[in-house]
Amino acid sequence: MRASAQALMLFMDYKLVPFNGDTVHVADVAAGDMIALDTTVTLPDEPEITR
Amino acid sequence: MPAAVIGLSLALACGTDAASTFNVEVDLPTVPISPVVPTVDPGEVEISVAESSFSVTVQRYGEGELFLSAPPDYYDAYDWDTAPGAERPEFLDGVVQHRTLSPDVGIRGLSNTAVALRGKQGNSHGFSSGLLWSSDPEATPVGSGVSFPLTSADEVSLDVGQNFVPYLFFETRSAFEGIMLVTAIVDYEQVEFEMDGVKGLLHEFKTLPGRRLAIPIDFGSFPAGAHDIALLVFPHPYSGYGYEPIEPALRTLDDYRVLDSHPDQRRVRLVVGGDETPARVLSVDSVGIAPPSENGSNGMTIFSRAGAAHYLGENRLKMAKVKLVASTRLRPGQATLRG
Repeated sequence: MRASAQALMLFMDYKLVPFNGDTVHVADVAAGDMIALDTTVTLPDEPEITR
Repeated sequence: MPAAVIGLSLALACGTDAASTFNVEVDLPTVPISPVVPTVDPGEVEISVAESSFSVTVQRYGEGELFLSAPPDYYDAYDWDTAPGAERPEFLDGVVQHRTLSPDVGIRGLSNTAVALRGKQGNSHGFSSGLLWSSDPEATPVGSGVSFPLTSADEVSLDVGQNFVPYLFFETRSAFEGIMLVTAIVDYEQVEFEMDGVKGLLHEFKTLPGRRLAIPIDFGSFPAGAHDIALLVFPHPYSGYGYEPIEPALRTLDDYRVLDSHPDQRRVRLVVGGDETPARVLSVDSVGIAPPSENGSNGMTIFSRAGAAHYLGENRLKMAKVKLVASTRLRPGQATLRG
């Protein structure tokens, strides 16, 4: 594992959710680099916002 | 300077047995605790919150009395139901609310000067956190007979079958109070853990100004191998949900603030049974590229519209297909995976 590897995880409502088939992905991102991942995020329909 | 080191230096500077009491009438809830009498430094301050005033008792603690047990009435003056930022959305389940603290929780006030000085420092969160641990399973910061029995936990070794039981060290600056949410990632999975004796996936506690808390945590035992443990602390976790219903047709990813929360992260490499074999091995599934010159790289993560040529500034979108964009300005070696 290269030292520039970064784990990517996605949280929704403070809970880990999978994207692109897994809950964690690893990107090898050197200093100054960027990555772009195409994915689909399904948001809740209408969350109940309460005071 | 790590918070634990700050605590140690203050403790060593303290005298013993001397106590003074001052009563200060201030308006709640936004008044910072400022020095009452400059000469009291470096005494310790005990703060209790009443309905209309802070009662500030300056007390010098002797060495070895870094923390006292949390009093049962610690939260009595706090109105959980109406305080700003305390409104947890009903759909957000799995949250353990710690509305009382057990005697196992260590608590200590900061000196007047320390509170005032740290309130002036440019920390946008107004708090710091850490994990404290000792190889002695009996060590506790509460009423300890030594100067500081626990140290910052970055590398920890345990025997097979031994529980990992650190303390969440939490320190708040001047006038900072609010709800905090804590969760844990073990070997890249979100897991339940015990906090102050209660097990849950997400733990909510309240912090008051000018306090140090040492809250016991129990991750349980681990199989042999090297484990990657991260504790995430989210300040004001519910503020991003807003207080007014949002028109569904106008809801965007920004409205959900899915990317606008920056937790305080504490990470520990835990080696169990002397076995350095990673408990979970991750493989690289994407490789970074140099960013387009017009974008630059500023070390952020955003959502962008799927297919967008320019990622930055196009992250307002309604739903579904998105592009997750991450970049870094870290030097190689700063971001390492221990799994």
